[in-house]
Amino acid sequence: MNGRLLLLLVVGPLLLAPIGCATPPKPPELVAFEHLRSDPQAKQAEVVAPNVMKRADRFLTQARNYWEDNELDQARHASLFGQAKIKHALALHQQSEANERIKRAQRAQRKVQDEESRLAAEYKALNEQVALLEQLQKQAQERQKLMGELQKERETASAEQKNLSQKLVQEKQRAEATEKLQAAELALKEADTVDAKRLAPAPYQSAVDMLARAQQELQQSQLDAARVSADMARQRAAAAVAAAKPAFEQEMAANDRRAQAESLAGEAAQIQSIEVRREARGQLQRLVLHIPASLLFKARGTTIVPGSEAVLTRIGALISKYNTFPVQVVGHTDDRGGADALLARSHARAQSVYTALVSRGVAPTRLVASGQGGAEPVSDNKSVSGRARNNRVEVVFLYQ
Amino acid sequence: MKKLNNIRKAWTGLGGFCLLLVALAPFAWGGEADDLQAMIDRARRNVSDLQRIDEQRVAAEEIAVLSTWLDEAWRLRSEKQYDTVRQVLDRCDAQADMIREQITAGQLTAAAQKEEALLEASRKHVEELKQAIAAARQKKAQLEVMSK
Repeated sequence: MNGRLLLLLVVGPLLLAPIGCATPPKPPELVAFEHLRSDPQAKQAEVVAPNVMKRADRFLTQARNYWEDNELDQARHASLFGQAKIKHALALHQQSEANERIKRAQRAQRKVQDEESRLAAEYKALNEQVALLEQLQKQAQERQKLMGELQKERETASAEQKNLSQKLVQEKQRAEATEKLQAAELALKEADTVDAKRLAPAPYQSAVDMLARAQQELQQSQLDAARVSADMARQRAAAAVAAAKPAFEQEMAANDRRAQAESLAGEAAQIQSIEVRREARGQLQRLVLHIPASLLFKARGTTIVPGSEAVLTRIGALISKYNTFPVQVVGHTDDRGGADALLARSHARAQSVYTALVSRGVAPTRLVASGQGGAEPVSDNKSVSGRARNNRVEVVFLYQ
Repeated sequence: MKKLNNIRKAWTGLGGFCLLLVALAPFAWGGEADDLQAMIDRARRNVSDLQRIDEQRVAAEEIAVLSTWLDEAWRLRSEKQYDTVRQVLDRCDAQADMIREQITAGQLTAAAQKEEALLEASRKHVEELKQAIAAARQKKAQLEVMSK
């Protein structure tokens, strides 16, 4: 036991002696320094900052020497110093790289700016061209739009013109129809003036119906039909006029004659010593001025005696005044005597009165003298007074 | 006689000088401590300046290391290991120089990045212009066809 202890005490220090004399563990600062130095960037930094790197390498050598000499504090200090130098060199290298980057970027920037300027100019020119083209297209579109509007306005104007023309034609047709209608109404009024309603009822009624139809058609704007109907109404009214006019004129003439006859009768009645009477023989009317023979002639005489001038003058004046009436001068006798003698005496007396009237200015063509003898007595021949009435000269005004 | 007097005066002067050195020795040591303190203080102000200019914080760790070293220097000064303090301060100077270069490198890198970003933006703009030109050409062609 003691031997082993003795052996340990002798051999132990011998074994530990090399350990105590050996190189101490490398300080971490030195390890970090070497690691930093072996970095690839450190080699690049040698190009940029060779002096700084040389100083760093000297510190590395010193640090390693200090470490190998077991002067660890100095080794640590040199390592830290050297690290600062390497980092210094790396910073310079980084600055150099940054400067290179800046230069490259600025060079590229100049190129890009040149290209940018060129492109901007090209873009500006293109935009101007596009704007010009757009403006041209816009103008073309506006022109097209205006042309469309113009065409539309033309069409509208044309349609309006057509419409106006149609209206004008229609108004013209309406005016024509109205004119024809007025003509028909006028013709109908003319028919009324000749009393066609009574005298020509068929054409008159037809004209009235046609006129009503024309008016209705005019209201319904059936202008052609209205025009035709109005024409037909006018024609039928004219036909009614044509049909009624002769009868109407005859009636009017008869009425005139009747009125004149009335006037004549009134005036004749004022002549003293004569009688006035009216007679009808068929459609023929007779206004008879009965002049007693005793007023004009001596008994059985045929020459007018003086004193009868006034009567004859007034009768002649009447004949001249009422100059439209045909006048007969007819002599009559009583029945005493031969018929031929009576007829001759009556004729001679009529002729005497005829002559006296012509001498008083009555136109001979208006007078017809005749004798009837005793064929037409107006009273009884048996009495004196009767015979005196039958001996007479009659001035007869004829009318219808 | 005169020569002896001169020798005596010389020895007297040398003796007085030695006495003065002995008398001023504590003051001399005190002066170095003050110098080192002033150097450390200046180095600390320098650290503050470095922190201020390191806007991008690229050297924050190294500045922290520098501060640690200054603290170490201060401690060594307190322990009156003045030679070591001077070594540490030399190292601090080297560290500060390195930090300045790192900050400058960071600033230059940022500037490079800025230039590259500008370049990229310009390239992008150029690409956009090319696309716009292509579109404008196409539009122009269409318009020309339409206008015929």
